[in-house]
Amino acid sequence: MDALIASESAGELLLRALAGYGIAGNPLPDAAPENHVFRQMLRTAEDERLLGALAESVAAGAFPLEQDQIDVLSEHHADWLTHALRIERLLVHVSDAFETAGIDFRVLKGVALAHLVYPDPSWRVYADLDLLVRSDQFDAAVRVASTELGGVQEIPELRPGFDSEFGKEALVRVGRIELDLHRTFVTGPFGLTIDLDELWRDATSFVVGESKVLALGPTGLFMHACYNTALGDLPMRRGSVRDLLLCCAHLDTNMDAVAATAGAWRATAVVQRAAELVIDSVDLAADHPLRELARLSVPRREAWLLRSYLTPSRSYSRQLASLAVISGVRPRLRYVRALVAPSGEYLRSRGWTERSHLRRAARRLRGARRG
Amino acid sequence: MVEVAYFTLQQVSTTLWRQLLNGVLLLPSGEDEVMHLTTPGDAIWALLEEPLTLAELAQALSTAFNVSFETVLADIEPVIIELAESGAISKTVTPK
Repeated sequence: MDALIASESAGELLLRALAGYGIAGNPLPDAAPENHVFRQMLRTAEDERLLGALAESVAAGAFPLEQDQIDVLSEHHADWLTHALRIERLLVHVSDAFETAGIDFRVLKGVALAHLVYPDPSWRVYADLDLLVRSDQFDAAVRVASTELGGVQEIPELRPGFDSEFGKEALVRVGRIELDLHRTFVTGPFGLTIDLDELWRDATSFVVGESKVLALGPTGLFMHACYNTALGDLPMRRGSVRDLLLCCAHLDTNMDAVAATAGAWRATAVVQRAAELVIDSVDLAADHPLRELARLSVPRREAWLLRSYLTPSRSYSRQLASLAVISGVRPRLRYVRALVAPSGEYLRSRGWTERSHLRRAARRLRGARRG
Repeated sequence: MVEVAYFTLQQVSTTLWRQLLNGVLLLPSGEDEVMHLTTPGDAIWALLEEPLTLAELAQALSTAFNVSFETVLADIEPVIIELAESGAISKTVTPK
């Protein structure tokens, strides 16, 4: 038991050190761990998307490992990076297909951050390809991904037209790779209050092979990293802490501008929570810019909306909370209709009937109220 | 047998790649399989960021690893052939 506790505690310390490697003050171990501890560390680093940071620290000689441990780490790292290269190959193909079809896009998340804020893309692993497309081109983007790239949308939208008006993303599987076509950053109310037009006014670029591709502008990248940290996974993955720290270090973002954008998008709660989570995760300098964001005052209404993301039944509570930010009677009715009566195609894709769908929703929401 | 002096070698810019702890991964355009070039073979890839003749490449590696020019040449020849055949690097005739 003691060994287990020691291994878990060593794992936690390592995660903190890796999340802040090169930026925060958390020290890495100065000696190689025992093999059973190392295996646990490796698993956790993979789950938390910090395998790249682990490899980076070992490559720099900052974390001494035994040679056989380095060999195991190298194998895992190579597997992830092999996948990363296949994802980038898909990005090149998508870029060509979308350009031909006149569809604008911005590369999001792992692929963009690996190239734009990490010291080397090898130090950021990722599992899928995330692209932002315009709402009015969303359906066309899904169609092109299916017809030109052989993609399959395994879960159709709730009802025709739902995704392009209210949805966060469409998941299209292209071979072994998941292509996530995003319309906004997150599901639920905070995804609906983002000024989506503003996301397209600015861009950064990077090169994949010979293809120049666009990502969001610096403020958009920073804001998206905040959304991922605050709302992406529950519990949060430490890799998102590292993403946000590196965005802070390498993007030319002014915290006043971030706070202003957060206010305009009714997302102060998101930015404040992201900053707080980072501060809780790593030892930051007293004057680190994220501390400014952690001190932001959160409007009560946003704090209420935020709670819908932090319950076990969030897949339903976020949807209901969205009603609080959708303007107009007709859009609200369209939204409710889609939630209550999804299309037959959607229900079949999930193996549900209309009744089982409603029973499940009611059960989850009752659970949420008790929780 | 690759002729030593008469070819210029260089990374093909469409080749996707990643640095590893023990080498480099390459995915040339048009190939389905990712190639793993283990250390010290990854030095070949790094050096070919700039165009080099085979002789220049072998000389640079010979100096870096303190191994004779002839030994390096013999060691890298199959790697160069594989890289060129996969399309990861280009092999163009050097004007005499």
